[in-house]
Amino acid sequence: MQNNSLNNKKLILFIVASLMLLGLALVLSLILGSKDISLAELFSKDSENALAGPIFEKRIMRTVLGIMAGFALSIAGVLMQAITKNPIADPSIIGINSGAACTVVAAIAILGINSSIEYIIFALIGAALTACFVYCIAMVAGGGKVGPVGLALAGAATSTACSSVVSLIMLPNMNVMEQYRFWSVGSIKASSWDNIMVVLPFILAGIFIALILIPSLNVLTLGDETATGLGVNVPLIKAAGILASVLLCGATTAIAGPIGFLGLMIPHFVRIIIGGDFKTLIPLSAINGASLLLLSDVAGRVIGRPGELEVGVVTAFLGAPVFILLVVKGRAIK
Amino acid sequence: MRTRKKKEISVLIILFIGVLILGFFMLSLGESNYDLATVVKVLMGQEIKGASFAVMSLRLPKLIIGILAGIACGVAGNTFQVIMKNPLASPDVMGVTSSAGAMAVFAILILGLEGVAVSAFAIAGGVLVAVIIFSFARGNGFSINKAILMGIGIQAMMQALITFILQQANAYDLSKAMHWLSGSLNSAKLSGAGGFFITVLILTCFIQYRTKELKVLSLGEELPVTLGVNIDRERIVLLMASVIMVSVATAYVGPLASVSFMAGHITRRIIKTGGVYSLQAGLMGAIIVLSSELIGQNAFAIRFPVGVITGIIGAPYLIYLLLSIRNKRG
Amino acid sequence: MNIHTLQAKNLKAGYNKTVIIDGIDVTIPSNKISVIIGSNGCGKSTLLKNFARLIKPFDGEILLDGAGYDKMHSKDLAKIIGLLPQSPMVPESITVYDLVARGRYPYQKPFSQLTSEDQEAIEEAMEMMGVSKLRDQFVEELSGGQRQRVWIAMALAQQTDILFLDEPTTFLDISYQVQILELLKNLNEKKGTTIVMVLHDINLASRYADCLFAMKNGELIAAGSPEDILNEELMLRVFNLECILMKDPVSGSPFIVPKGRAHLRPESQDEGKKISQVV
Repeated sequence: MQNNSLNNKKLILFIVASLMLLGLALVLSLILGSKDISLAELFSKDSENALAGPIFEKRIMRTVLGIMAGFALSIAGVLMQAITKNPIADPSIIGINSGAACTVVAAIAILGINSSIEYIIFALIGAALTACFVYCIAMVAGGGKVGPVGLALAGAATSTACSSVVSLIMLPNMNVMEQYRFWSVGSIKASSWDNIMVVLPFILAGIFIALILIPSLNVLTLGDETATGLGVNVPLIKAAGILASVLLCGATTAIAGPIGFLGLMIPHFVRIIIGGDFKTLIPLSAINGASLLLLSDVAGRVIGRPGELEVGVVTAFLGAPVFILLVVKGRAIK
Repeated sequence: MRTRKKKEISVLIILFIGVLILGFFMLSLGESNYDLATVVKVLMGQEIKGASFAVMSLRLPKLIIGILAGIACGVAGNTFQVIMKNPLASPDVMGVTSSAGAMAVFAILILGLEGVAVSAFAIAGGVLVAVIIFSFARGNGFSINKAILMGIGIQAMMQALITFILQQANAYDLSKAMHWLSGSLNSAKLSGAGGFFITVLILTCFIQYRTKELKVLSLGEELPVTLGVNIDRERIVLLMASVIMVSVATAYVGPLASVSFMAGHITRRIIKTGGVYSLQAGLMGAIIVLSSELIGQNAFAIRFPVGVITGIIGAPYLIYLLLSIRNKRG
Repeated sequence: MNIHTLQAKNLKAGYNKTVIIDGIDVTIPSNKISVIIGSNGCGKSTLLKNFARLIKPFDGEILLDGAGYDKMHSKDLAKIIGLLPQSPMVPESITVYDLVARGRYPYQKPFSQLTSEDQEAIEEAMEMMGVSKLRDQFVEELSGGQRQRVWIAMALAQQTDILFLDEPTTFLDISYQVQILELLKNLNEKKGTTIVMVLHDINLASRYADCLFAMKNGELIAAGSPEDILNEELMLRVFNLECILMKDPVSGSPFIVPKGRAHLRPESQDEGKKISQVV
């Protein structure tokens, strides 16, 4: 009993800390950049000079997009890890990012698509196809079980293939190259509110499905057989989970490009602190994912001055060591 | 017994002839095509207008650097795979190649170095990653799976690092970016290639000289010791030789995708006598590089760097390998 | 055939930092078959690995003809001491002949081909293990028993005077187990090779061993011929198992029948009650 209340205390403490961190990240994201805005300016009502300008509008936009992407990628990571029962499952490891990139570029070159909604649809198709493809390869290679090494290698191979195809298509089209180059690293510099509004429904739908799945996911951790015995429709739940994660990271990739390792890092940290109950794991991963993404973006802006370092580079730098640590500590392979 | 030896030698000869033929095509095909006679005349030193410049200054350097890089990747990849008894364990899968590439691009674009110094940086990068992977993957006996997973993580990080450096240096022009992200022969020059040549020559000879040790090392953890091999020393020396070779190659052509992992495996699949075949794997590497270069330069409306082509070939091969490993177990 | 003496003095050994064997003295009888028995985790494999120099002792020493291993060149040592590990690794697509030929490594020089001496040794080893006809087959395609014979042939091609085998019969069915042990006995008689192995089957050990070493918790409990040391009391001490000692109807060696409780016949009810009291 006492233990339980202690856990509750810890949980509440962690929630408060997470929200405070998100608040801090939000403020930093708004004020720091190639041109800093002081706190006083941010909160005073009449400082129209600084806040009304296009710089600040852009900054609000990227902060909003950062929160969305952070939510989406972290939840996608949680879902994938739960469904594949594989601790290293992450959109970037599985190669979904480059798969989405590949279909978008192919569609630009072959079908001549040019609107955001078309980008997003093709990114989603690419993400879904890649996810299924990599998952199937890993499944066959592991003899019905999806092992970490099989998944990572199948993902790496698919990534290589997709980025080579992207190069093949792009090299003859220099103008696409210029645009793609930043997209290929991952950046939350949104071009317009319209684009954000286009992806928002997909992300909300993904989050909604994830929330519905929470009780079933909790049972699924007991193993497929036990879950079936407890009355869970395992294939349906898995399909829904995959759909949700594809919606989440496909939409994010479509607007922000590939941002790697966030979905890998965040759920692990949150799980270490508060345990594996999806009821708390999903929302808290989302919050902390958003914080980390905003802070990484801010760090990229500060480090990269006078230009800026794309957030995808920063998360790769933070995430790859975490990934390696997971491997070394034996969490990835039993 | 004798038939197997014959097989190894005849494969060696066939591969050598293959390299020669591809080499001829490398010299003859391009912006304008030349016939065999012209190519030979030019190589003999005759001055032929147009042809001399194209063959001697543009195509020959590509050919030589391509062959050297192919041999380096093939021999090194083969050695990795034999020592670790796993076809997936090759310098490119394990992140050694991209780390060497990241250090090389750092040396060139940020520090403004060139020549031997760049190779030194690349070697430092490759060795560092190899040391990290091998010391961390130890623990309770060496775990090849851990090493492979760590390699994939390191690779992601190094790709990010390369992108970062390219942006910082404001050098993100197309050719350089492609060179350092996937490897190409487009900036191949003969000046300064002497060190590359000597490195590949010495280390290939050294690894060939250690063939018997390599054969014994493929017997697992225990038998090599009782057969009188100093297992730790041999492994470290042979792996380091391979890492150095791959790193130097990367300093010249960028991180070539998939060559080191395909060459050795294809060679072993062809010869199938349970041997080591370093030389054959080296030539196979050269063949992969040269034919990819030929495809990239001639098969499409525009020219693609060799790394893009090896990447496209390598990915399905890796997937095929993943699946075939499974089938053998099942 | 040279006669070598091999002994461990006050040997302390284990893995990483865990001590498994804490100070034992063992002398391996020359030109005999010795078998180490003991329950799982008692240190028998550790002892074998120390003798085969796969692991280094924490303390104490192993002396070959009175000198430590580190005094000798490792290739020279490999001409005297050989080992067949428990589950050796088969390289991809290697033929029987090539695998056996790898046992010749200690005799070879870089770049050299197999000498006629090498070839003779390989032929003889294959002949002895009855795998000459399989020479061109791939090892991975052989049955378990055939494969084990190929591995032993590889160890024989090494032409060592002392041969260690770590559970050579473990994954084989009973007919192959007997076949392998017969072949080893034959080898010992013909060439005088000193054989030291770990076996789990006490009765086979009793039949084929000239000398038994019984170990428990890293200590040597008893050493001597099966006739001298193998009895009910030893089984109880080493394996914590109640047994009845009989005579092997074929070889006359001591034969152990475990009691257990489930199958006791009425006439042995009393014994059964005794056991339940003990337990």
